[in-house]
Amino acid sequence: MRVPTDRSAKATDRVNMTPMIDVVFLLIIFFLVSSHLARRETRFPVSLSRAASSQPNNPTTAAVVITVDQNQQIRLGSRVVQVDQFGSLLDPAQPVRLRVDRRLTYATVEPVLRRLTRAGIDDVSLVTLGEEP
Amino acid sequence: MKRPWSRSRPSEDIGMTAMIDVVFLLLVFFLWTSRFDEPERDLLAGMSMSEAVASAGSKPRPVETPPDQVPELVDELIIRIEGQGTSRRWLVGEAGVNRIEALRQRLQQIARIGVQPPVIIEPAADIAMDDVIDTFDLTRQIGFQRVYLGVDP
Repeated sequence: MRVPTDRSAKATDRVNMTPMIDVVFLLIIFFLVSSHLARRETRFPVSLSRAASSQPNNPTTAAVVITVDQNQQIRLGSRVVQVDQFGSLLDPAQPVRLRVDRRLTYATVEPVLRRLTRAGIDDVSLVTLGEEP
Repeated sequence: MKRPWSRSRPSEDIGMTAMIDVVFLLLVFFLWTSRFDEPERDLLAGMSMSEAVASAGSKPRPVETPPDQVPELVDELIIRIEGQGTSRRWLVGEAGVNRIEALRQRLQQIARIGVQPPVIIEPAADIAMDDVIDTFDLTRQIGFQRVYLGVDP
């Protein structure tokens, strides 16, 4: 029997870095993209007002996002809800971010604010854009 | 003279496939991590309900003053927003103004007195949220810290 030479074994022993880097990059991108999409899940398109006294949004606080769009549809997170439903779905200790279309009348938004007040939620923020650039 | 044997030749070939792979990955990475939309900001908004059902935190608490001090001149400042179509009218207490600049001047006059009453903004039902937020923002900019949106019970 012929003994295999050392040469062939050496060539396969060398770790090929290129596919490994490829895979690592793919994993990084996968996690980045999935976290990015998770953050954007509750960001439905609404036309927001501008306010100079608004504060930068703190991404570390786990706030509940309520969106009221131009068609007066109310969303709690990504779920469409009726105004009389969501009072019981909210935790009074959790902050609420209210994304309201700027063209809506106060009569549309007031019932939402009333429910929040009745649910005992103090920490409510109106989501706006910054000052005109 | 014998030429030195070069082993580096095979590695000098640039692996185009791997390079394109990495370049595409970098491209995707930067496209996904860059933001093209304007960042959203938060405008802290308290609510004021004119009924006992309102929670203690969201209802403006009356300012308690020790008996030897002069009580606050104004308990609360109510700004009503009224209007039809594109015209707007702001009522600060009993006085009415038709332009937001006039409202700014009026609020600045009140702020100059040195009082810091809670301000309650009470828009009419048909007022757009844009006007409500503009008024809210203006009041905060002038220096009133306790600004609330009036909510009917």
